[in-house]
Amino acid sequence: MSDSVERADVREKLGPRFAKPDPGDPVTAPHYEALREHRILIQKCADCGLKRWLPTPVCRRCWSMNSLWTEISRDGVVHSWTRIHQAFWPATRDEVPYQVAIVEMLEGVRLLGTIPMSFRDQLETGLEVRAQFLDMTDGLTLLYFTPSTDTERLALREKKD
Amino acid sequence: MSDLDRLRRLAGAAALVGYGETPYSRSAPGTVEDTYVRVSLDAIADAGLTPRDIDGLLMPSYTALPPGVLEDFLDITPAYTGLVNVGGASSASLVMTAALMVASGVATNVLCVTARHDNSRSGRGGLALKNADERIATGYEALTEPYGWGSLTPPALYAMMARRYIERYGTLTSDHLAEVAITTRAHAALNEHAQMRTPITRAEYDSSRLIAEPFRLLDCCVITDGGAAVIVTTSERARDLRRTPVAIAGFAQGRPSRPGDLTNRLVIDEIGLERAAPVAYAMADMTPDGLDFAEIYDCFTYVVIKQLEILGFCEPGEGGDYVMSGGLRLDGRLPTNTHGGLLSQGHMSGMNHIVEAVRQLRGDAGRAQVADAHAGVVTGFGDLGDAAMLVLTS
Repeated sequence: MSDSVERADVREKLGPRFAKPDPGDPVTAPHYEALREHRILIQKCADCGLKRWLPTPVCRRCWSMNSLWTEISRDGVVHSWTRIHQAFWPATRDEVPYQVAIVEMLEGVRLLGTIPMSFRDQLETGLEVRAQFLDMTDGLTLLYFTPSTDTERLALREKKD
Repeated sequence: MSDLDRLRRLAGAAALVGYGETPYSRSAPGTVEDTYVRVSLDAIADAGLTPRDIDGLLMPSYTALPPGVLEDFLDITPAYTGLVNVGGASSASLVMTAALMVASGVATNVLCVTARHDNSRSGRGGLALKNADERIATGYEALTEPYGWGSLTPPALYAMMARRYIERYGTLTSDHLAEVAITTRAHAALNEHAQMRTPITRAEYDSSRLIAEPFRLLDCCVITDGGAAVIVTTSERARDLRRTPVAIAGFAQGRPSRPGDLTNRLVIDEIGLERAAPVAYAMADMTPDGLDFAEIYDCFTYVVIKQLEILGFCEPGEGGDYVMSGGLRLDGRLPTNTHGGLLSQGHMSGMNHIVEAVRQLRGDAGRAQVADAHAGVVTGFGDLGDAAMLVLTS
């Protein structure tokens, strides 16, 4: 794949990046390392088991400072969203518009991700979506979400029952 | 939990006795240091004081000028100097803190001051940074900014709140948002300090470009050069000063739950005013019906509608209908943002809302004067929902 094709693909799915995560950041590195393996890790209290996101040093339920990383599903529902038309940085002028959603995952935590513009007409609060992984050229993997297929929705219902 | 019995004893113990304010513009003359000094001197002179009378200094934490430098410039040595860190709620919070300082005796005359030359600094409001990929983020920013959303995209943060509001109440139309923008601009047209004074039509609102849905350009506040300052002292001392004092009858600060993380806040459109308003009203022994005007922090049109509901001027979900009934207008139920707000007068972090409330209560508000204005409310709204509220009376 030529570099230009890949760049266009990135823009279509993810919009601009305002910053790159620091690979040495102990707070976020486990999450980004897992994304590279196409798995989603979030934090979990090692004492009371409460799953939490975004990462914090302490559990908000029992105030334990012991935590683990735990894998969650790829299934969620759009909780809120916006379509961004403004290039908040001049350098991102070619990357608008793009869509960002807060997605409530099956496990109750909410993840941030983009929604490809090709799903513009389907994007609404309550839309069932599935996390996808986009491997960038620089070793970073980011999340985006696409509407769940009928098969995925059925499988999810069976799992819930 | 606030101790209301003790708070009620402080109702009216402090007063606003002076203000200074520059015109708001895209390009102020001089430096931001000059502006800090100018509005400080103007506020001190308006109160009938000299800089040496100032023994308390409060500034917002995002100040471009460290307080020590301003003290050096003015050659003052306050008994207490402090920074307040609640974003756009800081201005109202400065006044609250100043009232506590003078009521306790920590200080006698407190200068609360803010200035910003945001346009001059950043070049038409755009950030100077050219290449986003050169920024390395940790923590919260590392989890938001790679997705093109976060502290660099304020309208997109508030858009997430507005979307949840729409989901819950099934309302918030472009009619509602446009009415806030148009009425606020109409008020700015009457204000000699306002940055944007040309009235806008509904067609102009509709054709203004989309920023972050549901917000258009005209739903967003302006970016401003300028400054504003006020002086707070005790009510006893205020009686001997040259201006009619404005009593600080009630104050409160409040935060939403998970103030630092909008994405996982249980109720994304929860705001700190839900906690602050009952306290400030109770302290001041005030109800919404007793107010003559409101200066409501308006970084975006939507937050005016939301705060009107929390302040009790209408029921939750009915803010849109309230503004459509002309409720914000000078001849409406409760004249609101009579100076043009952040949307049109200028983004002076809400210090301009406090200055306007003082002008209204002195009867000095010019063409926007509300007849027989004796009580007003001021709100501040910062970051992801921080709040501060003042009830001011004459």
